[in-house]
Amino acid sequence: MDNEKHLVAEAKRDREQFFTLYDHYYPKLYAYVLSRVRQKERAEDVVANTFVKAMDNMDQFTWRRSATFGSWLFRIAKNDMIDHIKKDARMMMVETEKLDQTMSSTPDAMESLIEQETEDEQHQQFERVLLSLQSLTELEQEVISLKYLADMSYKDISLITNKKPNTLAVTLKRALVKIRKDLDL
Amino acid sequence: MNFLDNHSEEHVKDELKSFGRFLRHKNPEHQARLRAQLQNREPRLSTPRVSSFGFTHRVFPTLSFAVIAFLAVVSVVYQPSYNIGNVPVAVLETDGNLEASEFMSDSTGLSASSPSTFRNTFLRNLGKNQVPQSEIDAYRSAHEDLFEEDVQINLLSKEKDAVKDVMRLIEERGGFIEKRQQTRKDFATMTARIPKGELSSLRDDLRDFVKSDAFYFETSQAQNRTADVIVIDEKVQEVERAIVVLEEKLATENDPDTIKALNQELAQHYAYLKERQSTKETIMERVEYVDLSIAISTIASWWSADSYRDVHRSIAGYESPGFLARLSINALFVITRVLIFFSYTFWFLIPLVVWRALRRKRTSLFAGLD
Repeated sequence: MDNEKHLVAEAKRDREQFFTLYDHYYPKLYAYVLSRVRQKERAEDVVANTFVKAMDNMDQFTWRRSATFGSWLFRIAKNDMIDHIKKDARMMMVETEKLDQTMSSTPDAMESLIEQETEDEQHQQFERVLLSLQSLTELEQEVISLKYLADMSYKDISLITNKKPNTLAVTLKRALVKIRKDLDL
Repeated sequence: MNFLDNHSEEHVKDELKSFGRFLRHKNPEHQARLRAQLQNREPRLSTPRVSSFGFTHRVFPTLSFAVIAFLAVVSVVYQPSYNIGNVPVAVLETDGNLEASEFMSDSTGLSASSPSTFRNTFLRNLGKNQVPQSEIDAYRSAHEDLFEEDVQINLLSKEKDAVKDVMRLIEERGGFIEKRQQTRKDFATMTARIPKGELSSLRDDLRDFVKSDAFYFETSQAQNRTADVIVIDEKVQEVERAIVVLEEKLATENDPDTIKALNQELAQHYAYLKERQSTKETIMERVEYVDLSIAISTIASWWSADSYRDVHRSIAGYESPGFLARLSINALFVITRVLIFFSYTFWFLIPLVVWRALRRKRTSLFAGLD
Protein backbone atom coordinates (compact mmCIF):
# COMPACT_ATOMS: atom_id res chain seq x y z
CA MET A 1 0.00 0.00 0.00
CA ASP A 2 1.36 3.39 -0.97
CA ASN A 3 0.04 5.40 1.95
CA GLU A 4 0.27 2.61 4.51
CA LYS A 5 2.30 4.61 6.98
CA HIS A 6 -0.26 7.38 6.97
CA LEU A 7 -3.13 4.91 7.31
CA VAL A 8 -1.48 3.19 10.27
CA ALA A 9 -0.97 6.53 11.99
CA GLU A 10 -4.63 7.37 11.36
CA ALA A 11 -5.74 3.93 12.60
CA LYS A 12 -3.92 4.49 15.86
CA ARG A 13 -5.99 7.62 16.44
CA ASP A 14 -9.27 6.54 14.94
CA ARG A 15 -10.52 2.95 15.08
CA GLU A 16 -12.64 3.40 11.98
CA GLN A 17 -9.51 3.98 9.90
CA PHE A 18 -8.31 0.52 10.88
CA PHE A 19 -10.91 -0.95 8.53
CA THR A 20 -9.24 0.51 5.46
CA LEU A 21 -6.24 -1.60 6.36
CA TYR A 22 -8.55 -4.49 7.17
CA ASP A 23 -10.22 -4.36 3.75
CA HIS A 24 -6.85 -4.31 2.04
CA TYR A 25 -5.25 -7.11 4.00
CA TYR A 26 -8.15 -9.47 4.69
CA PRO A 27 -8.10 -11.21 1.26
CA LYS A 28 -4.32 -11.56 1.28
CA LEU A 29 -4.22 -12.88 4.82
CA TYR A 30 -7.10 -15.25 4.24
CA ALA A 31 -5.50 -16.69 1.09
CA TYR A 32 -2.22 -17.19 2.91
CA VAL A 33 -3.72 -18.76 6.01
CA LEU A 34 -6.10 -20.98 4.04
CA SER A 35 -3.25 -22.26 1.91
CA ARG A 36 -1.30 -23.09 5.04
CA VAL A 37 -3.97 -24.62 7.31
CA ARG A 38 -6.18 -26.00 4.52
CA GLN A 39 -9.34 -25.88 6.59
CA LYS A 40 -11.87 -23.14 6.11
CA GLU A 41 -13.04 -22.92 9.75
CA ARG A 42 -9.54 -22.93 11.13
CA ALA A 43 -8.42 -20.33 8.60
CA GLU A 44 -11.32 -18.11 9.63
CA ASP A 45 -10.37 -18.52 13.29
CA VAL A 46 -6.73 -17.62 12.63
CA VAL A 47 -7.65 -14.60 10.51
CA ALA A 48 -10.17 -13.39 13.12
CA ASN A 49 -7.61 -13.82 15.94
CA THR A 50 -5.01 -11.99 13.91
CA PHE A 51 -7.17 -8.94 13.30
CA VAL A 52 -8.36 -8.86 16.91
CA LYS A 53 -4.77 -8.91 18.14
CA ALA A 54 -3.69 -6.34 15.59
CA MET A 55 -6.56 -4.06 16.59
CA ASP A 56 -5.81 -4.41 20.32
CA ASN A 57 -2.09 -3.88 19.87
CA MET A 58 -2.22 -1.19 17.25
CA ASP A 59 -0.64 1.32 19.65
CA GLN A 60 2.37 -0.90 20.10
CA PHE A 61 3.11 -1.25 16.42
CA THR A 62 6.13 0.78 15.36
CA TRP A 63 7.97 1.11 12.05
CA ARG A 64 11.28 0.21 13.56
CA ARG A 65 13.80 -1.73 11.48
CA SER A 66 11.70 -1.23 8.33
CA ALA A 67 8.95 -3.56 9.55
CA THR A 68 5.79 -2.93 7.54
CA PHE A 69 2.25 -3.24 8.81
CA GLY A 70 1.65 -6.14 6.42
CA SER A 71 4.64 -8.09 7.67
CA TRP A 72 3.57 -7.46 11.26
CA LEU A 73 0.07 -8.74 10.53
CA PHE A 74 1.35 -11.85 8.78
CA ARG A 75 3.77 -12.56 11.62
CA ILE A 76 0.85 -12.45 14.05
CA ALA A 77 -1.03 -14.90 11.85
CA LYS A 78 1.99 -17.14 11.57
CA ASN A 79 2.37 -17.07 15.31
CA ASP A 80 -1.25 -17.98 15.76
CA MET A 81 -0.93 -20.88 13.36
CA ILE A 82 2.11 -22.13 15.29
CA ASP A 83 0.06 -21.93 18.49
CA HIS A 84 -2.67 -24.02 16.88
CA ILE A 85 -0.13 -26.59 15.78
CA LYS A 86 1.36 -26.74 19.29
CA LYS A 87 -2.10 -27.11 20.79
CA ASP A 88 -2.87 -29.94 18.37
CA ALA A 89 0.42 -31.62 19.20
CA ARG A 90 -0.42 -31.53 22.91
CA MET A 91 -3.86 -32.94 22.23
CA MET A 92 -2.30 -35.59 20.06
CA MET A 93 -0.15 -36.75 22.94
CA VAL A 94 -3.27 -37.20 25.05
CA GLU A 95 -5.62 -38.66 22.49
CA THR A 96 -3.45 -39.94 19.70
CA GLU A 97 -5.73 -42.69 18.58
CA LYS A 98 -8.86 -40.61 18.69
CA LEU A 99 -7.25 -37.84 16.65
CA ASP A 100 -5.87 -40.23 14.12
CA GLN A 101 -9.37 -41.49 13.53
CA THR A 102 -10.75 -37.96 13.25
CA MET A 103 -8.05 -36.79 10.85
CA SER A 104 -8.30 -39.78 8.62
CA SER A 105 -12.06 -39.37 8.39
CA THR A 106 -11.88 -35.60 7.66
CA PRO A 107 -11.68 -34.83 3.94
CA ASP A 108 -9.30 -32.10 2.86
CA ALA A 109 -11.54 -29.09 3.37
CA MET A 110 -9.83 -26.94 0.80
CA GLU A 111 -10.11 -29.56 -1.89
CA SER A 112 -13.80 -29.81 -1.21
CA LEU A 113 -14.02 -26.04 -1.35
CA ILE A 114 -12.42 -26.01 -4.76
CA GLU A 115 -14.80 -28.72 -5.89
CA GLN A 116 -17.86 -26.81 -4.76
CA GLU A 117 -17.12 -23.47 -6.24
CA THR A 118 -15.16 -23.82 -9.43
CA GLU A 119 -15.76 -24.94 -12.95
CA ASP A 120 -14.59 -28.42 -13.86
CA GLU A 121 -11.57 -27.39 -15.88
CA GLN A 122 -10.44 -24.81 -13.37
CA HIS A 123 -11.14 -27.23 -10.57
CA GLN A 124 -8.76 -29.76 -12.06
CA GLN A 125 -6.07 -27.19 -12.55
CA PHE A 126 -6.34 -25.84 -9.00
CA GLU A 127 -6.32 -29.36 -7.62
CA ARG A 128 -3.08 -30.07 -9.47
CA VAL A 129 -1.56 -26.85 -8.17
CA LEU A 130 -2.65 -27.80 -4.69
CA LEU A 131 -1.10 -31.23 -4.98
CA SER A 132 2.16 -29.85 -6.28
CA LEU A 133 2.27 -27.37 -3.38
CA GLN A 134 2.01 -30.26 -0.97
CA SER A 135 5.16 -31.80 -2.41
CA LEU A 136 7.25 -28.71 -1.51
CA THR A 137 9.25 -28.15 1.65
CA GLU A 138 7.79 -26.01 4.44
CA LEU A 139 9.79 -22.94 3.50
CA GLU A 140 9.02 -23.34 -0.21
CA GLN A 141 5.31 -23.61 0.54
CA GLU A 142 5.52 -20.57 2.77
CA VAL A 143 7.30 -18.46 0.16
CA ILE A 144 5.02 -19.53 -2.70
CA SER A 145 1.93 -18.86 -0.56
CA LEU A 146 3.13 -15.41 0.37
CA LYS A 147 4.34 -14.43 -3.08
CA TYR A 148 1.68 -15.76 -5.42
CA LEU A 149 -1.34 -16.57 -3.28
CA ALA A 150 -1.19 -13.62 -0.88
CA ASP A 151 0.51 -11.32 -3.40
CA MET A 152 3.00 -9.92 -0.88
CA SER A 153 6.15 -8.01 -1.78
CA TYR A 154 9.63 -9.49 -1.46
CA LYS A 155 10.43 -7.08 1.35
CA ASP A 156 7.40 -8.24 3.32
CA ILE A 157 8.17 -11.90 2.66
CA SER A 158 11.71 -11.36 3.85
CA LEU A 159 10.41 -9.81 7.07
CA ILE A 160 7.75 -12.46 7.60
CA THR A 161 10.01 -15.44 7.01
CA ASN A 162 13.08 -13.76 8.47
CA LYS A 163 15.10 -14.86 5.46
CA LYS A 164 17.49 -12.83 3.38
CA PRO A 165 16.33 -11.80 -0.12
CA ASN A 166 18.99 -14.00 -1.74
CA THR A 167 17.77 -17.05 0.15
CA LEU A 168 14.21 -16.21 -0.83
CA ALA A 169 15.11 -15.90 -4.51
CA VAL A 170 16.81 -19.29 -4.53
CA THR A 171 13.95 -20.90 -2.60
CA LEU A 172 11.37 -19.42 -4.92
CA LYS A 173 13.24 -20.51 -8.02
CA ARG A 174 13.63 -24.03 -6.70
CA ALA A 175 9.95 -24.21 -5.76
CA LEU A 176 8.86 -23.03 -9.21
CA VAL A 177 11.00 -25.68 -10.88
CA LYS A 178 9.43 -28.37 -8.70
CA ILE A 179 5.90 -27.15 -9.42
CA ARG A 180 6.65 -26.94 -13.16
CA LYS A 181 7.77 -30.53 -13.12
CA ASP A 182 4.73 -31.59 -11.14
CA LEU A 183 2.35 -29.73 -13.42
CA ASP A 184 4.27 -31.00 -16.43
CA LEU A 185 4.42 -27.59 -18.08
CA MET B 1 15.79 -24.34 -24.06
CA ASN B 2 16.20 -21.31 -21.90
CA PHE B 3 13.32 -19.65 -23.66
CA LEU B 4 11.20 -22.73 -23.10
CA ASP B 5 12.21 -22.82 -19.43
CA ASN B 6 11.38 -19.16 -18.97
CA HIS B 7 8.16 -19.54 -20.83
CA SER B 8 7.00 -22.48 -18.72
CA GLU B 9 8.12 -20.74 -15.54
CA GLU B 10 5.92 -17.79 -16.47
CA HIS B 11 3.12 -20.26 -17.08
CA VAL B 12 3.61 -21.72 -13.60
CA LYS B 13 3.54 -18.25 -12.11
CA ASP B 14 0.32 -17.47 -13.97
CA GLU B 15 -1.26 -20.65 -12.64
CA LEU B 16 -0.23 -19.78 -9.10
CA LYS B 17 -1.43 -16.21 -9.43
CA SER B 18 -4.76 -17.37 -10.76
CA PHE B 19 -5.09 -19.75 -7.81
CA GLY B 20 -4.15 -16.90 -5.48
CA ARG B 21 -6.83 -14.64 -6.96
CA PHE B 22 -9.34 -17.40 -6.43
CA LEU B 23 -8.36 -17.84 -2.79
CA ARG B 24 -8.22 -14.12 -2.04
CA HIS B 25 -11.81 -13.61 -3.12
CA LYS B 26 -13.03 -16.79 -1.59
CA ASN B 27 -14.75 -15.70 1.58
CA PRO B 28 -16.52 -12.31 1.34
CA GLU B 29 -19.19 -13.42 3.85
CA HIS B 30 -16.62 -14.05 6.56
CA GLN B 31 -14.85 -10.82 5.69
CA ALA B 32 -18.07 -8.85 6.15
CA ARG B 33 -19.04 -10.76 9.29
CA LEU B 34 -15.65 -10.28 10.92
CA ARG B 35 -15.66 -6.62 9.95
CA ALA B 36 -19.00 -6.14 11.69
CA GLN B 37 -17.77 -8.01 14.77
CA LEU B 38 -14.64 -5.92 14.97
CA GLN B 39 -16.59 -2.71 14.56
CA ASN B 40 -18.94 -3.63 17.39
CA ARG B 41 -16.15 -4.82 19.62
CA GLU B 42 -15.40 -2.90 22.80
CA PRO B 43 -11.91 -1.41 22.62
CA ARG B 44 -9.55 -3.24 24.92
CA LEU B 45 -7.68 -1.26 27.50
CA SER B 46 -4.10 -2.19 26.84
CA THR B 47 -1.72 -2.40 29.73
CA PRO B 48 1.95 -1.99 28.96
CA ARG B 49 3.83 -5.23 29.27
CA VAL B 50 6.49 -5.15 31.96
CA SER B 51 9.23 -7.51 31.03
CA SER B 52 12.58 -7.96 32.63
CA PHE B 53 14.19 -6.72 29.45
CA GLY B 54 11.94 -3.66 29.48
CA PHE B 55 12.96 -3.03 33.05
CA THR B 56 16.68 -3.16 32.32
CA HIS B 57 16.02 -1.27 29.12
CA ARG B 58 14.71 1.65 31.18
CA VAL B 59 16.84 1.34 34.29
CA PHE B 60 20.24 0.96 32.66
CA PRO B 61 20.21 4.22 30.71
CA THR B 62 18.72 6.04 33.69
CA LEU B 63 21.44 4.76 36.00
CA SER B 64 24.11 5.45 33.41
CA PHE B 65 22.86 8.98 33.02
CA ALA B 66 22.80 9.42 36.81
CA VAL B 67 26.38 8.17 37.11
CA ILE B 68 27.57 10.40 34.29
CA ALA B 69 25.75 13.40 35.76
CA PHE B 70 27.26 12.66 39.16
CA LEU B 71 30.77 12.37 37.71
CA ALA B 72 30.27 15.58 35.76
CA VAL B 73 29.13 17.45 38.87
CA VAL B 74 32.00 16.02 40.89
CA SER B 75 34.52 17.00 38.25
CA VAL B 76 33.18 20.55 38.33
CA VAL B 77 32.89 20.87 42.10
CA TYR B 78 36.09 19.04 42.85
CA GLN B 79 39.10 21.26 43.30
CA PRO B 80 42.59 20.11 44.19
CA SER B 81 43.57 20.95 47.71
CA TYR B 82 46.59 20.82 49.92
CA ASN B 83 46.32 18.13 52.48
CA ILE B 84 46.44 19.88 55.80
CA GLY B 85 45.83 17.71 58.81
CA ASN B 86 42.65 18.12 60.77
CA VAL B 87 43.18 19.73 64.11
CA PRO B 88 40.92 18.56 66.94
CA VAL B 89 39.64 22.06 67.64
CA ALA B 90 36.67 20.89 69.65
CA VAL B 91 38.97 19.15 72.14
CA LEU B 92 41.09 22.26 72.43
CA GLU B 93 38.10 24.40 73.22
CA THR B 94 36.45 22.13 75.75
CA ASP B 95 39.18 21.09 78.12
CA GLY B 96 42.38 22.62 76.87
CA ASN B 97 43.97 19.23 76.12
CA LEU B 98 45.25 18.06 72.81
CA GLU B 99 45.36 14.43 71.88
CA ALA B 100 48.84 14.04 70.53
CA SER B 101 48.10 10.90 68.56
CA GLU B 102 45.49 12.62 66.44
CA PHE B 103 47.42 15.56 65.20
CA MET B 104 50.79 13.88 65.20
CA SER B 105 49.65 11.10 62.94
CA ASP B 106 47.72 13.51 60.80
CA SER B 107 50.46 16.06 60.47
CA THR B 108 51.54 15.14 57.01
CA GLY B 109 51.93 18.72 55.92
CA LEU B 110 51.63 19.58 52.29
CA SER B 111 51.15 17.04 49.62
CA ALA B 112 51.00 19.44 46.74
CA SER B 113 53.57 17.54 44.76
CA SER B 114 51.17 14.68 44.25
CA PRO B 115 47.78 15.24 42.68
CA SER B 116 44.99 15.30 45.21
CA THR B 117 42.62 12.42 45.02
CA PHE B 118 38.87 12.46 45.11
CA ARG B 119 38.86 10.62 48.43
CA ASN B 120 41.27 12.78 50.34
CA THR B 121 40.07 16.14 49.08
CA PHE B 122 36.53 16.23 47.82
CA LEU B 123 35.00 13.92 50.40
CA ARG B 124 37.01 15.40 53.24
CA ASN B 125 36.17 18.94 52.25
CA LEU B 126 32.52 18.18 51.78
CA GLY B 127 30.71 19.98 54.58
CA LYS B 128 33.74 20.93 56.65
CA ASN B 129 36.79 23.12 56.50
CA GLN B 130 35.00 25.18 53.89
CA VAL B 131 36.26 28.70 53.96
CA PRO B 132 33.67 31.18 52.64
CA GLN B 133 34.55 32.84 49.34
CA SER B 134 34.13 36.29 50.88
CA GLU B 135 36.73 35.44 53.51
CA ILE B 136 39.13 34.20 50.83
CA ASP B 137 38.61 37.35 48.77
CA ALA B 138 39.13 39.54 51.82
CA TYR B 139 42.34 37.71 52.71
CA ARG B 140 43.69 37.93 49.17
CA SER B 141 42.95 41.62 48.90
CA ALA B 142 44.55 42.22 52.33
CA HIS B 143 47.66 40.37 51.18
CA GLU B 144 47.72 41.95 47.73
CA ASP B 145 46.61 38.84 45.93
CA LEU B 146 49.60 37.03 47.23
CA PHE B 147 48.56 33.53 46.36
CA GLU B 148 48.28 32.56 42.76
CA GLU B 149 45.90 29.64 42.57
CA ASP B 150 45.96 26.21 41.02
CA VAL B 151 44.79 25.89 37.46
CA GLN B 152 43.15 22.85 35.96
CA ILE B 153 43.38 22.57 32.21
CA ASN B 154 41.76 20.04 29.94
CA LEU B 155 43.04 19.51 26.46
CA LEU B 156 41.69 17.43 23.64
CA SER B 157 44.07 17.02 20.75
CA LYS B 158 44.50 15.07 17.57
CA GLU B 159 48.26 15.29 17.89
CA LYS B 160 49.84 12.02 18.96
CA ASP B 161 52.67 13.92 20.64
CA ALA B 162 50.40 16.33 22.49
CA VAL B 163 51.80 15.33 25.88
CA LYS B 164 55.39 15.99 24.80
CA ASP B 165 54.41 19.31 23.25
CA VAL B 166 52.71 20.47 26.43
CA MET B 167 55.72 19.40 28.50
CA ARG B 168 57.97 21.36 26.19
CA LEU B 169 55.80 24.48 26.55
CA ILE B 170 56.03 24.23 30.33
CA GLU B 171 59.75 23.59 30.46
CA GLU B 172 60.50 26.44 28.06
CA ARG B 173 59.04 28.77 30.71
CA GLY B 174 61.27 27.58 33.51
CA GLY B 175 58.53 25.34 34.82
CA PHE B 176 58.92 21.70 35.70
CA ILE B 177 56.82 18.59 35.60
CA GLU B 178 56.32 17.10 39.03
CA LYS B 179 54.34 14.06 38.07
CA ARG B 180 53.12 12.55 34.88
CA GLN B 181 50.72 9.65 34.53
CA GLN B 182 49.80 7.93 31.33
CA THR B 183 47.77 4.85 31.99
CA ARG B 184 46.47 4.65 28.46
CA LYS B 185 47.73 5.74 25.09
CA ASP B 186 45.05 8.35 24.66
CA PHE B 187 44.87 9.89 28.09
CA ALA B 188 47.49 11.48 30.31
CA THR B 189 47.51 13.68 33.36
CA MET B 190 50.34 15.75 34.67
CA THR B 191 51.05 17.94 37.62
CA ALA B 192 53.36 20.79 36.81
CA ARG B 193 54.55 24.05 38.27
CA ILE B 194 55.46 27.21 36.43
CA PRO B 195 56.49 30.67 37.56
CA LYS B 196 53.50 32.89 38.22
CA GLY B 197 54.34 35.40 35.50
CA GLU B 198 54.40 32.70 32.82
CA LEU B 199 50.83 31.49 33.27
CA SER B 200 49.30 33.96 30.89
CA SER B 201 51.70 33.19 28.03
CA LEU B 202 51.34 29.46 28.67
CA ARG B 203 47.59 29.79 28.32
CA ASP B 204 48.03 31.64 25.02
CA ASP B 205 50.44 29.03 23.70
CA LEU B 206 48.19 26.17 24.72
CA ARG B 207 45.26 27.82 22.98
CA ASP B 208 47.35 28.33 19.85
CA PHE B 209 48.50 24.76 20.07
CA VAL B 210 44.97 23.39 20.06
CA LYS B 211 43.37 26.08 17.92
CA SER B 212 43.29 24.18 14.64
CA ASP B 213 42.00 20.77 15.59
CA ALA B 214 41.35 20.35 19.23
CA PHE B 215 39.83 21.66 22.37
CA TYR B 216 40.99 23.59 25.39
CA PHE B 217 39.34 24.75 28.55
CA GLU B 218 40.11 25.53 32.13
CA THR B 219 37.72 23.94 34.54
CA SER B 220 38.49 25.91 37.65
CA GLN B 221 40.84 28.09 39.50
CA ALA B 222 41.05 26.59 42.90
CA GLN B 223 41.13 28.78 45.94
CA ASN B 224 42.71 26.24 48.19
CA ARG B 225 46.08 27.75 48.91
CA THR B 226 44.49 30.87 50.36
CA ALA B 227 41.93 28.76 52.18
CA ASP B 228 44.65 26.55 53.59
CA VAL B 229 46.61 29.53 54.90
CA ILE B 230 43.45 30.95 56.48
CA VAL B 231 42.74 27.64 58.17
CA ILE B 232 46.35 27.38 59.40
CA ASP B 233 46.19 30.91 60.85
CA GLU B 234 42.96 30.12 62.67
CA LYS B 235 44.30 26.87 64.12
CA VAL B 236 47.55 28.52 65.15
CA GLN B 237 45.64 31.23 67.00
CA GLU B 238 43.57 28.63 68.82
CA VAL B 239 46.64 26.65 69.85
CA GLU B 240 48.33 29.87 70.99
CA ARG B 241 45.32 30.64 73.19
CA ALA B 242 45.51 27.12 74.63
CA ILE B 243 49.22 27.64 75.35
CA VAL B 244 48.46 30.86 77.26
CA VAL B 245 45.87 29.00 79.38
CA LEU B 246 48.31 26.17 80.06
CA GLU B 247 51.13 28.56 81.04
CA GLU B 248 48.84 30.36 83.46
CA LYS B 249 47.92 27.04 85.02
CA LEU B 250 51.59 26.08 85.21
CA ALA B 251 52.50 29.30 87.03
CA THR B 252 50.05 28.61 89.85
CA GLU B 253 50.49 24.84 90.09
CA ASN B 254 52.58 23.21 92.86
CA ASP B 255 51.88 19.52 92.37
CA PRO B 256 54.89 17.95 90.54
CA ASP B 257 52.77 15.36 88.70
CA THR B 258 50.39 18.00 87.39
CA ILE B 259 53.32 20.20 86.39
CA LYS B 260 54.82 17.28 84.47
CA ALA B 261 51.55 16.60 82.68
CA LEU B 262 51.10 20.29 81.80
CA ASN B 263 54.63 20.47 80.46
CA GLN B 264 53.96 17.47 78.26
CA GLU B 265 50.84 19.12 76.88
CA LEU B 266 52.72 22.33 76.27
CA ALA B 267 55.42 20.42 74.38
CA GLN B 268 52.77 18.88 72.16
CA HIS B 269 51.24 22.29 71.51
CA TYR B 270 54.57 23.79 70.56
CA ALA B 271 55.34 20.83 68.30
CA TYR B 272 52.04 21.40 66.54
CA LEU B 273 52.72 25.11 66.19
CA LYS B 274 56.12 24.41 64.69
CA GLU B 275 54.69 22.01 62.21
CA ARG B 276 51.93 24.38 61.12
CA GLN B 277 54.40 27.19 60.70
CA SER B 278 56.54 24.96 58.54
CA THR B 279 53.48 24.09 56.42
CA LYS B 280 52.68 27.74 55.98
CA GLU B 281 56.27 28.49 55.03
CA THR B 282 56.15 25.78 52.39
CA ILE B 283 53.04 27.36 50.91
CA MET B 284 54.62 30.78 51.01
CA GLU B 285 57.72 29.49 49.26
CA ARG B 286 55.54 28.40 46.41
CA VAL B 287 53.79 31.72 46.08
CA GLU B 288 55.82 32.55 43.03
CA TYR B 289 54.65 29.43 41.26
CA VAL B 290 51.40 28.25 39.81
CA ASP B 291 50.43 24.64 40.21
CA LEU B 292 48.99 23.19 37.07
CA SER B 293 46.90 20.10 36.76
CA ILE B 294 46.63 19.18 33.10
CA ALA B 295 44.56 16.41 31.56
CA ILE B 296 45.33 15.62 27.93
CA SER B 297 43.11 13.40 25.82
CA THR B 298 44.26 12.50 22.37
CA ILE B 299 41.66 11.46 19.84
CA ALA B 300 41.93 9.54 16.59
CA SER B 301 42.44 11.71 13.55
CA TRP B 302 39.14 10.65 11.99
CA TRP B 303 37.23 11.93 15.00
CA SER B 304 35.73 15.36 14.78
CA ALA B 305 36.90 17.69 17.47
CA ASP B 306 34.78 20.45 15.92
CA SER B 307 31.83 19.62 18.11
CA TYR B 308 33.92 19.99 21.24
CA ARG B 309 35.44 23.21 20.05
CA ASP B 310 32.10 24.60 18.90
CA VAL B 311 30.47 23.76 22.19
CA HIS B 312 33.27 25.51 23.95
CA ARG B 313 33.26 28.54 21.69
CA SER B 314 29.52 28.98 21.48
CA ILE B 315 28.80 28.44 25.13
CA ALA B 316 31.84 29.77 26.82
CA GLY B 317 34.21 31.37 24.35
CA TYR B 318 37.67 31.38 25.76
CA GLU B 319 36.44 32.81 28.99
CA SER B 320 35.84 30.70 32.02
CA PRO B 321 32.56 28.92 31.24
CA GLY B 322 29.56 29.07 33.51
CA PHE B 323 28.52 26.24 35.75
CA LEU B 324 26.06 24.66 33.29
CA ALA B 325 28.48 25.03 30.41
CA ARG B 326 31.23 23.40 32.42
CA LEU B 327 28.77 20.70 33.46
CA SER B 328 27.80 19.88 29.88
CA ILE B 329 31.39 20.01 28.63
CA ASN B 330 32.52 17.80 31.47
CA ALA B 331 29.68 15.42 30.73
CA LEU B 332 31.02 15.10 27.18
CA PHE B 333 34.45 14.32 28.51
CA VAL B 334 33.12 11.85 31.04
CA ILE B 335 31.03 10.06 28.41
CA THR B 336 34.00 9.85 26.07
CA ARG B 337 36.22 8.48 28.79
CA VAL B 338 33.60 6.03 30.01
CA LEU B 339 33.09 4.73 26.46
CA ILE B 340 36.82 4.40 25.89
CA PHE B 341 37.24 2.69 29.25
CA PHE B 342 34.46 0.19 28.57
CA SER B 343 35.57 -0.59 25.05
CA TYR B 344 39.12 -1.16 26.29
CA THR B 345 38.13 -3.19 29.33
CA PHE B 346 35.09 -5.11 28.14
CA TRP B 347 35.94 -5.58 24.48
CA PHE B 348 35.18 -9.28 24.83
CA LEU B 349 31.54 -8.45 25.66
CA ILE B 350 30.98 -6.75 22.30
CA PRO B 351 30.04 -9.99 20.45
CA LEU B 352 27.57 -10.74 23.25
CA VAL B 353 25.95 -7.34 22.90
CA VAL B 354 25.73 -7.72 19.12
CA TRP B 355 24.23 -11.19 19.49
CA ARG B 356 21.67 -9.86 21.99
CA ALA B 357 20.73 -7.02 19.67
CA LEU B 358 20.28 -9.40 16.73
CA ARG B 359 18.24 -11.76 18.83
CA ARG B 360 16.01 -8.93 19.91
CA LYS B 361 15.55 -7.91 16.29
CA ARG B 362 14.36 -11.39 15.37
CA THR B 363 11.70 -11.46 18.06
CA SER B 364 10.74 -7.81 17.99
CA LEU B 365 7.72 -8.29 15.77
CA PHE B 366 6.12 -10.44 18.43
CA ALA B 367 6.63 -7.90 21.17
CA GLY B 368 3.47 -6.68 22.79
CA LEU B 369 1.30 -9.55 21.60
CA ASP B 370 -0.67 -11.78 23.92
